[in-house]
Amino acid sequence: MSFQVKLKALTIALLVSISSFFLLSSAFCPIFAQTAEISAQPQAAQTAEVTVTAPAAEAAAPASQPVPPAEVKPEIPAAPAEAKIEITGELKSIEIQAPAQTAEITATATVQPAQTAEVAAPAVTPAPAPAAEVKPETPAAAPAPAPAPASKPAAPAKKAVKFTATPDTLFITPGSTCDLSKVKLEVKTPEGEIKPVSVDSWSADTGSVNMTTYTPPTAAFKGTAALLANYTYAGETLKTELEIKVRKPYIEERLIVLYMALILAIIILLSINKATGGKNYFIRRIGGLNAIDEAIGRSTEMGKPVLYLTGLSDMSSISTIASISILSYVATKTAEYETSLLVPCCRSLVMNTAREVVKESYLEAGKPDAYNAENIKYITDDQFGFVSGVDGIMLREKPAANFYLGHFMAESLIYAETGNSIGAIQIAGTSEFSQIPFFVAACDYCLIGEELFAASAYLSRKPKDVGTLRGQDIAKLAIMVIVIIGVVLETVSVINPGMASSLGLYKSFFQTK
Amino acid sequence: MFLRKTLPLLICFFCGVFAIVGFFSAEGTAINTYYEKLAKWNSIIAAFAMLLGVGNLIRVNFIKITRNHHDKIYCAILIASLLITATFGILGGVYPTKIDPANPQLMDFFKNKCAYIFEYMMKPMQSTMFSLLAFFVASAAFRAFRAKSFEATILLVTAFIVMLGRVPIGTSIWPGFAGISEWILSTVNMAGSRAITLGAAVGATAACLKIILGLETRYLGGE
Repeated sequence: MSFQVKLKALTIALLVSISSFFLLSSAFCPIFAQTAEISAQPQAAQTAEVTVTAPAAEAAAPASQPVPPAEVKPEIPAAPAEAKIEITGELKSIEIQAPAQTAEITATATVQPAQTAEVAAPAVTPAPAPAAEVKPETPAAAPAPAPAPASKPAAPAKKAVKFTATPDTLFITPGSTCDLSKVKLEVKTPEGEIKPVSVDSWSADTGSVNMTTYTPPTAAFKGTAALLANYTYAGETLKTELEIKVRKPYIEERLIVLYMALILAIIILLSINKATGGKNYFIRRIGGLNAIDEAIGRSTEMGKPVLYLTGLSDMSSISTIASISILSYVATKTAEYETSLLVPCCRSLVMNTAREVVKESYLEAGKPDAYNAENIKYITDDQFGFVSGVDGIMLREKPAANFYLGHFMAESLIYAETGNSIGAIQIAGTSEFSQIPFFVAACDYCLIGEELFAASAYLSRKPKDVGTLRGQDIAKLAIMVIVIIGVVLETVSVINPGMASSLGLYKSFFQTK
Repeated sequence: MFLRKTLPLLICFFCGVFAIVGFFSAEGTAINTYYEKLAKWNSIIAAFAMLLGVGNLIRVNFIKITRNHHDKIYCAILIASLLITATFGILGGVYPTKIDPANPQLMDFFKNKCAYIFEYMMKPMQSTMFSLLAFFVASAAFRAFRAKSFEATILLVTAFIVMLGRVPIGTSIWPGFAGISEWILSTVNMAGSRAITLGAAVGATAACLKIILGLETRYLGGE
């Protein structure tokens, strides 16, 4: 049988299964066998409808059997309409009081149309039935259910109209005025029709306003002003509120972040420029990165695969991108040594990226045939589902070297301890502070914090990477200076409270929102 | 080359710069409006990708079943689980709802089943994996706290004091343990953690700049 035929067969089988599932589900659904309906029509224009929900056994009674006795005495107020009563429990007797001399009561078990009983009962109702629905719930064991509460005649609901101002919030910059002519006030009628409404006047809680323009109280005013549009609709004077937010087009409190990022960018670009110009920079030894070659060599000697995890995050995480950079190096080495590289992924995008990166690395190493896409697989997005999948791979494949580089959460120690139990050499690295202690305790080597981001520069030694690394170091030095100045000011302000204002100014400069 | 390298780098540059400008622009500005729309587009694209993903998942696993792959039983379980959970979720909703026995509805059978699957199948399985941590913490601590060097001894003593300060028996032995433990956590540990966090933040910022400026291209495959 060809694959297409099998696919069609499976599709049909699935459809049949789902259809059967729906049909069978109705057998489990209890609603059909437990509903009986009794309606009473005292007059042509005065209908009283009583719905009774009875147990299944009662409802399954033959059609000729009279309605089981129950006592229901609905008080039907005087209004020419329809009353509907639902009773849950054993039905004893029904008394309908209606102005007409007779009423017809019909009991219906909806599971079988044949189970219908007609009972003639005297109906002495002094007033017509109102348009109301009464649903008293009677306990099943109670022999004499409580009488149904009287239904109040429903007052005719006033259909609401909805007023909207578009836009309901306006934004202006300090020192400017707001043009109110672009505000459209509309009313939506209950029929769904939208009609424009003309504003009679405007009022504001702060600043001045006329028919076309709002002016903030001062040129430097920043904040929110509440405006009221006064108008007349259907003879009534109404108001609709809208807001005017006076703010700068940028978020001032975040400017310090922009300044810092720009300074960092300039430092990095200058450092890259210097590095590409031939200047050599010293990079301190990072044990975890030196051990990568050793770990891959060990796997090769033992004839076992290398396991590489990029963490839980997607490609939007900078830790994952840094990890992918290191994966490129690891893949090149495994390609050179012809060692199997296993990369289980928690995110589909990461899997695709990892496949592309590993494939390129194998190509660069001149071993494109050694690349196996099946080794880079997606497992699941679920955190602990992924953990169980990876643990299974570790226990089955018994890799000799495990790399955990990226963003990890609570599962970090589970990986590390499982890897330790199979005797693998383990190199971990994460910028997630809370997980570093677990990796330090359970792994052979651990990249701490920014070492993960420095790894690509350390491994490749390319000028642009080394220049970036130097830029980072200069930025860290600047941060250290800022922190030391803060510590000094804080200490001095404790000794000399007069310095507290300087400290406050210093702190406010670095505060963000 | 243009489609594989240059175009992705250009898209990355423009999206990166746009996201940075959007982060600093105030509410109501045109850039901020489009910045928020970009986030919505992301959700919409993800929703369509989900459909593609489900289709692909079924295709890949079905091929394995038909080719008599050694994991075919797991593939079959996966497809069955997917279909059953999706059926209950689509027809009955994913959140628990109250069923009124007095007013039964046709869809009552499907209601709460999806929530039931998550509550009584997914969560226990997740908890089972998570509970392994208790044993792994003990075994990792045992290995890490062996006083085989001066640093390891300091680690052991510090950990011992912190543990005593955070359990009732420690404070009953000597109330001062709580204060020392708190000081270690809030002063010594906090200083170290902030240094690591600041370093990681600078590293992440530098890595972002490299990606936006097109200096880092390994994530696109190769150099």
